[in-house]
Amino acid sequence: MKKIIYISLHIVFILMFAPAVCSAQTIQEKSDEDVLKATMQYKDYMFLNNGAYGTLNPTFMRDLPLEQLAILQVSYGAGMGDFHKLDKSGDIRDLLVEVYGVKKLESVSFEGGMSYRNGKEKQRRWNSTLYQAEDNPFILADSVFSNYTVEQFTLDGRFSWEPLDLLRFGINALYEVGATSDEQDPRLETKGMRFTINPGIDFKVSKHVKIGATGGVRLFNENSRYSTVETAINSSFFVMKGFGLSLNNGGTSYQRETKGTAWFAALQVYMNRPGYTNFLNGGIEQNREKAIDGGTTQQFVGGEYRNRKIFVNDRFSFARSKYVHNIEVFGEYDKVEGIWYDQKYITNSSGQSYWEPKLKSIIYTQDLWQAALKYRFDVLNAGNTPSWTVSAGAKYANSETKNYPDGYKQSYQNITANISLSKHFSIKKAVLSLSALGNYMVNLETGLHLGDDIELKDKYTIPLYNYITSDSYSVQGRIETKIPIISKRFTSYVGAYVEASTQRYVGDDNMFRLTHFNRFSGGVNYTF
Amino acid sequence: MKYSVITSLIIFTSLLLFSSCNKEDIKIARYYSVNISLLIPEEEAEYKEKVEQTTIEIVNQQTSHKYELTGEYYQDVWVAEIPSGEYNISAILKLKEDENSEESILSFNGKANSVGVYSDNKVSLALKSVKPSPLIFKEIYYSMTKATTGDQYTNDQFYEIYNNSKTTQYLDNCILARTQGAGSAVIPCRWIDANGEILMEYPADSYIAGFVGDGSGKKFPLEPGKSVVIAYQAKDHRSQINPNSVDLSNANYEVNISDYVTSYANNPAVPDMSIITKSGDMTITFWMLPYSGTSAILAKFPDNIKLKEYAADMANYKTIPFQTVNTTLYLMVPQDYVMDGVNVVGVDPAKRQVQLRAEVDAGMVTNSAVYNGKSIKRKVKSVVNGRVVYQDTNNSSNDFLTDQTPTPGVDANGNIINNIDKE
Repeated sequence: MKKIIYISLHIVFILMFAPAVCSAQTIQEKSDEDVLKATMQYKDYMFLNNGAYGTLNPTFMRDLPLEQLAILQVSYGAGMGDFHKLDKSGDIRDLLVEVYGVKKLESVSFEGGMSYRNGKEKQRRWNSTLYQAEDNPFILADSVFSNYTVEQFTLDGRFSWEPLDLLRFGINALYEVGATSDEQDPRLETKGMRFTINPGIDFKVSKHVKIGATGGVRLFNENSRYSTVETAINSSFFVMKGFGLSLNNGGTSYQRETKGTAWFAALQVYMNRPGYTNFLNGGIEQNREKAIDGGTTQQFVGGEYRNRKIFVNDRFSFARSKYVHNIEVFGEYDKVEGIWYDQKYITNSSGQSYWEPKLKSIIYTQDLWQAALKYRFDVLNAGNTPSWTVSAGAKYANSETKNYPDGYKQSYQNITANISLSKHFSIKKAVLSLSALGNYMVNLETGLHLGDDIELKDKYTIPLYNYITSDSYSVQGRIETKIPIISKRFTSYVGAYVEASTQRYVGDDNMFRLTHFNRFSGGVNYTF
Repeated sequence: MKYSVITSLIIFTSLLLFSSCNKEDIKIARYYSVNISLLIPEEEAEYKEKVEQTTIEIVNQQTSHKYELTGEYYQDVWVAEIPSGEYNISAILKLKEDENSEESILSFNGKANSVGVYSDNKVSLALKSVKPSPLIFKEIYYSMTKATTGDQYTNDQFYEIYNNSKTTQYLDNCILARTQGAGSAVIPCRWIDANGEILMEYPADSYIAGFVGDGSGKKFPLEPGKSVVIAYQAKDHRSQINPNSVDLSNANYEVNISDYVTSYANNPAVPDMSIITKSGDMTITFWMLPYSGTSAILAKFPDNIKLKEYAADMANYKTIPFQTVNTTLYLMVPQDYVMDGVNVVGVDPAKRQVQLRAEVDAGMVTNSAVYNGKSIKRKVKSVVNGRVVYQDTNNSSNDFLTDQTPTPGVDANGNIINNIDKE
């Protein structure tokens, strides 16, 4: 892993910092105050000036309004409180180092970055995964609180090439690697990797309309290994099957390898007319993950997860004078299936023992419908960067999860409303941004039907469900500033931010009554 | 218009691709019907009317999840609705008690291991009658302890053999042994025939201790309600080494293996059991059961068989069936000679190896943790004139209490019962 990180660092530095040096010179030549402001508020600027911003198809990155940008950011965050998911930590510390850059050349554009996270997650249990799909029910877990160290490294890059005015190609790649471990019996060490690559294409069908397509693959691999120093004590390793159903494997060690492959494809239609733009994106994804326990000998299939997803989102944007309106709608349907393998332990005539799959059947399904609507209103200043931003939205989720053959079922419908307000002040050549955000989640309907034979019902299943279906609100505030450092040959910016939020439970459940989760983070960045 | 057509085309194509993704036909898990036929031997068919309780236990080998069918009557065929999987199915038919219940048939037991349920299925359980064994294991202490230093302490194991009958029994020609295969190793048991059935004879492993008589058959009498405590080392383990341990200074016998374990501290005041032979690969440095479990047997050989001669005859040895790699020989003990046997298994449900046939033990037993200083004790069935009669249905799951404080030489009423004449 160290070698991969080392090579990756070299690639990123070549891709990013070379154009960054060029960019500094270019800015110096332009000496344009608007460009300075755009660079300082690059996220808002790129969103407002590229209707396809954020899409998976890398070709649309060519439409980014900035010619070049490079950012180095170091941040530190902490989170603490009792209102959290059962298998997450209630005491988190994070150090994050990120670099990000954009460079546009004559017919090619580059964008990329990398990040390194070093985190502490105290008093965590019931989950050994790192990159495994969140809705995969086949988790390997232990019930002992442990203090985990988490290290994660990401590297991403994409380029868009426009050989003709009508046609653009692009490739997007994302590499994630990480490890988590603890030093208390049973000791968990999980190492994971995820690699995503998707080429893209778009074609100009008329003066104002482009059609794009992208498709790709995401490869996933994760190894979890439990071991104990005190070998006389048996630990329990839970091979979870959803709903808290599990196989309890006692012993002094346990090992799992999960591999997965996801295929996805999306089509886009981008209409860009004077005064308004519309970006429609729709796609599908199929993801499979399969867990194999036991290392190289006595392999046991720990479950197979399948997820099929269909999604569509549309962003309509129009501007009148210095006012910009954005309306976004989003819809997604996820179908999760958990497949269990009935296996028989066999010893052959050579004395070799192994588990032989006899039957596989679907024991877990989840249907999740999600829809969201968001409206954003920006008041621009003279440099086409936002002075005021107001947004409001709502997200609806409807989930139904079933277990077979016992017929256990859990369901919920919830709606989350959110509102945010940002004000950007120009103080001489510096920018000061103040933001506030509020969320309120309310459950419209919940239902849980379980049997008495679920051994972990009270310890795992119900607490997990209670968190998912809890009513809560959160508020967040952020102050950020960017101060330019202008010299004769080089313009750069120093920025700093602090951010604080609190999420509070508002229901009656004894487990969460009067609980909250507070977060704080702050960081400094350097843009050039 | 063109824009709408394009939009519709995207959505239609997406849905088409989405619906065509799942080509593999994997069915939703469901319950399957298993018809369980109970087969009582024809010559004992009259006992069907005396059945007062039928209990069929169906245990999933992977999950240890248990399903149970019960009824206060007998019927030939029972139907279970269970999820797919690999199951061990056992049946106990308890008969109505009569005055002679200590002597006559008490129950019928039957078991089928590794029954695959991947469709509707049928299984037949050939039931065997259970007659009370006069000599039984009253208590087995195998979990051992940890010293206050945290070190594992393995010298404090013991068996207690009890006369559960109304008449004096003789221990002459009895052996105590553990069967081959530690509970954490291989599932199912390796000692099986071509049909997957456990053999009708059991491989004795490691040291085999016995009561070698003088030919009279009456050298080692044991009165009704009395017991003998056989310790690995007969001493008070609490005061000398480990306060968490057990006092075995009152043991009737100990098993001296100082020829193998040079640190063995022999107690000259307590007689040694005779070592009949050392069977198997001899890799275990202690005599009794590993904490991970294995089966224990108490067998009484006929008077015309001399134990040491039997052990010296290589015709009585076998290797693990169907294996070409392991050629280690084990002394085989015919099931007909087994007075009592207990499937002591490991804590880990996924590694519980049953080594005895249902006629000997249709169940299994384990303490909840290793090195917890607890024993397994037989339940009390009744007390007759002050004599405790222990439950013996040849199903250790029903017959034994687990995680018990060891009480060597003391019965359920608190009476000292191992105060017998020593050899």
